[in-house]
Amino acid sequence: MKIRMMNMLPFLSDKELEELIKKVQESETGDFQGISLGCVAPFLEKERVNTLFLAEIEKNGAFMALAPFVSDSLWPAIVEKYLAGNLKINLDPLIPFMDNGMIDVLYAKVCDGALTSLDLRSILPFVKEDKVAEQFLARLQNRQEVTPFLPFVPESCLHHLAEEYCGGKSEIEIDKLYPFMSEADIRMIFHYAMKETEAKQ
Amino acid sequence: MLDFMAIGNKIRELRVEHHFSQDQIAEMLYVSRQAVSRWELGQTLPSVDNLIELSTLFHLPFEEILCMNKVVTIDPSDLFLGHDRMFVIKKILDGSLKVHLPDVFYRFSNAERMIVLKAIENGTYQTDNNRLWVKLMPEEQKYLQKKG
Repeated sequence: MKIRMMNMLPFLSDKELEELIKKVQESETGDFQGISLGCVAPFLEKERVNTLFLAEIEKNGAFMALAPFVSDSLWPAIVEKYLAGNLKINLDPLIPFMDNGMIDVLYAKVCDGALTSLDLRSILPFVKEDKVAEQFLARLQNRQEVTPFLPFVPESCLHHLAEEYCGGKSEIEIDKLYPFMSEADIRMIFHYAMKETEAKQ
Repeated sequence: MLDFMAIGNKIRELRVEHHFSQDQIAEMLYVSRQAVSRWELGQTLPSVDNLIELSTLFHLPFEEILCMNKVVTIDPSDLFLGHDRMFVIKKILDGSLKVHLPDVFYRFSNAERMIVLKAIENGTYQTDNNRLWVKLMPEEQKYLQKKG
């Protein structure tokens, strides 16, 4: 009778789990009899998952499968190492697993231009709306590029700009902004612009 | 948010209907032919002034060119066909586009999946979680468990 290793996992001792981890790590494919590190992780102590994750991240191995099981307390050290340039990994897929504090740190660095290896577009969906709006407005004021922010800027923030534009603040780059506004704001802008055009004629 | 692709298709449709070439439109609106091409491909939208001119040229209200009065119809076999991907995701999340998420979730890119999961985790979007659960990748399941 063939026993599936997967079904045995909950019954393995710590020592047996360690042996299994070793076999998985030694395999070329990243799994042993259908078992990957991600399968073993739920049966390990938190501390063990953390050390395993750190080891995998150091060698740019199968760390992604372990990310959901990592303690929140581990992220600051990882982010610090990454920012110091000591980790040559793609951080993008790890972002959803980080807490808001860590995401804010990375977001601030990306916006400052201090961190260029992380794509702004991959972090923006996970940044709180108020932080997106804050950065968006600052960039708008400094006439910097705002396109990547637009799908994530809260409508209330864009509404405020629509009102300002219709109040005569013509320096607002409305052509860039209107596609992301609410339908009510778009109507308001076009009615205003049509009146302006008529007045000019 | 506007549907860039639907608007692009509408502009092309109107141009052809009125027997204009892209060059002619470009000349009339003082823009490049490439700009007109980008509008039609749904890559960009005309400026407010250009849209007002298009509206006069095609004798149509701007709302119609911007597909604002149109009920968004989605091809269930290809959710994003003829639409801007972000537009579809936003419509699903704000509830104005009803889909059975577990049935279409596989069509989303990894980043789009995470945007939807974030909305579920925040409680701003509700779906049949039990049906969705089995369609998730292990790390996505853990994401919901951890955040939840």
